[in-house]
Amino acid sequence: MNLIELRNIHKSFEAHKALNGVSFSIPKGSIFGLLGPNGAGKTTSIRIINQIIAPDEGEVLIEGRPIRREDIQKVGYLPEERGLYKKMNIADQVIYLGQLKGLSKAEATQRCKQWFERFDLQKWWNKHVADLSKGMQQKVQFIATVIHEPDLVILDEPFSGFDPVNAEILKEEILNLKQRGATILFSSHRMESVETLCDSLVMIHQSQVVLSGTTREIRQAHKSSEIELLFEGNTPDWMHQFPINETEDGKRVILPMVDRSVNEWLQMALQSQCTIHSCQELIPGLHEIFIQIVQNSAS
Amino acid sequence: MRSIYLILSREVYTRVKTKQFWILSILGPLLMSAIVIVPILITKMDESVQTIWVQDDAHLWNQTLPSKERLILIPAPLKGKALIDSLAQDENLGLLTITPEVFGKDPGKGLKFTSQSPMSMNVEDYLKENIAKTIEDKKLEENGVTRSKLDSLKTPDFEMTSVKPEGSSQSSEKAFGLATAGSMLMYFFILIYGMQVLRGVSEEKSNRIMEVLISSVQPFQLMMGKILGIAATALLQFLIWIGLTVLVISIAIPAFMGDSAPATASAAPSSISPDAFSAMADVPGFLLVFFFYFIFGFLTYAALFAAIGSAVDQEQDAQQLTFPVTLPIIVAFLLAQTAVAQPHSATAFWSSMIPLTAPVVMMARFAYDAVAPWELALSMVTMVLSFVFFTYVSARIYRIGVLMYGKKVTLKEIARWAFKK
Repeated sequence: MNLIELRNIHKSFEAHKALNGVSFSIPKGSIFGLLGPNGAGKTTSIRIINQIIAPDEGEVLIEGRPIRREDIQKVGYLPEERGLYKKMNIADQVIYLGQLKGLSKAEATQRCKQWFERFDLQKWWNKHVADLSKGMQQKVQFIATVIHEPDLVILDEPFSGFDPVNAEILKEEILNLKQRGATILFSSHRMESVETLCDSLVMIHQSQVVLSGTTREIRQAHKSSEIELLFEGNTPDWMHQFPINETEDGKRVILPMVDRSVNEWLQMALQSQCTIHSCQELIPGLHEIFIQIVQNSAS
Repeated sequence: MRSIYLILSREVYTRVKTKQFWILSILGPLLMSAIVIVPILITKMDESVQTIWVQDDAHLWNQTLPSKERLILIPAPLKGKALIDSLAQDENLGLLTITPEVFGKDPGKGLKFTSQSPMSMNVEDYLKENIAKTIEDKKLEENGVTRSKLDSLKTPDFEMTSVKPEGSSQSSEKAFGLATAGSMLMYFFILIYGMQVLRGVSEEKSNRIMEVLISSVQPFQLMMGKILGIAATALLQFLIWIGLTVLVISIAIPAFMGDSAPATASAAPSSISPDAFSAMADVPGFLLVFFFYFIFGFLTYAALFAAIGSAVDQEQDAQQLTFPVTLPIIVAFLLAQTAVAQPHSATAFWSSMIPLTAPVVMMARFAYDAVAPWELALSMVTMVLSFVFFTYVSARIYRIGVLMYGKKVTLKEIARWAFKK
């Protein structure tokens, strides 16, 4: 079951075509990655889902029906450019933003307290944004995004500006949201940051979808059918026809899986006199896959 | 509606909480009261008791010296060094020497005043007037004419009264006070609070909280919430001003003036005399019209300011774009001066019909009772229509402007946003 579905979305700004027939579906309860380099059309897609802008063509469905203005109350959005009021204390802002998303004042205050405790922000309740460290500001912004317990949480470049410790906390919170049943749409230009988190993803390049599916499917589809063997000792004669590198960890050879399977290659290696450290099938990361796709489309 | 209300409340709450709001709320009425009270106070301060010794060698006054309250004139009791010593010791003591030259072509040559401190304006005016009259009397006597005869020949001072056809009369001094105060306040509030709308919008944009907000509420709701919130703040401040000003003046005038208050107060050289305030009390209609024009005039201008605020990344970039919006209001203020002088002129009529100048100019015309009911009705209808039109246009600009970053926008582009599909 898909929570959100984009169908053949087109959007232009003046002469610039920002989205050119983009379609993808976000499965309910999943963590979904929207990937692509800067300027690919990620933020435009997000703004269309958020109904900040309307598409020129195409439609957005939520739970199978066209999205309506009221549905926005069920969405939480953390924009790439973070921002809070400078002259308002942080608790008031969070409560205010919660109220704008439909919470009552009492409810918003109650939840704000819980979140502040969870992130250890209680003593900052009455402080202004300027008094907070950048990491704390990010936490406040995150609370404001999820305080109304949205069904869909949209995070645009969520890790930018987070130190490793806070990034880890954020990751945990994202997984918590998923466990609670929320669907998370996650946008980034840094593929490796989302690889481990995303259940499925779509990759946009030059206003078009160039890749989509579950993370596993995509990597399987792009595997190069090669294995990497790390070993020490004598190099068997049969191995000389393949490229061998000397590395710090030992000798490294890449073997094609055309005529032989992994098991067969491993058996041959075991029969020779060398010491095997590791043997693994080479599966490219999303980053490499993306580079590969961009290069292919360029050529 | 709930969103607009939430946004409105936040605007009022954050503004009313600031020190600036209260400083302006208190300073405004103090300044306005000061315009009335200070001249009275100055007059009052001059009136410490002063003694002037008179050495009347010209026999001008023939021993009947014109003393009055707080000013004692007596023949000089001392002479020579003792006199000089007394003058040196007492600041409030002066010596007026009158020589026969006072009857010459330039009476000033026959008058000399010696004192530690110079003669105050009030005393000087009083003495000059008295001396001139005495000299005149003497000359009349020499020519065989009595003062009473001369007075009976002169045309007495008179005043013009404006009377409406129905018969009720209206003082033009009161109307002048109302017209000036009304149009000035209108101009001031629209400009100051209009700029606050611009600042508020561009602040949300440069803070980057805009995107979070418009993913929760529609841009139109956000714009209207802000405008209405700032309008409510302005009205609140205006009511505080009126309340405090009336309070300060009603406490201060009796306190400073004692029993002689009414006489001196009406002599105070001010356009907003206490008379004008009492006039305001008898014209609740004026206040009603003021509120109407304030609300619709402000909403119209505020929408335009919001549109400009949405188009720029930072407030500093707004200056050249603001000019086309501030120009009509400044022109309106200048036209209001014309309308005060000639409330029935064609300029006054047309500028009170054109929605962008009407709020300020209408105050001037209405105070003079120079507006026919149909004119008022027509002007009010155009105000409402212009509010709808400018809000619609501004909302279209706003919707696009709030998402536009990193680009210096020109007026031409803004116009295109307003009217493109």
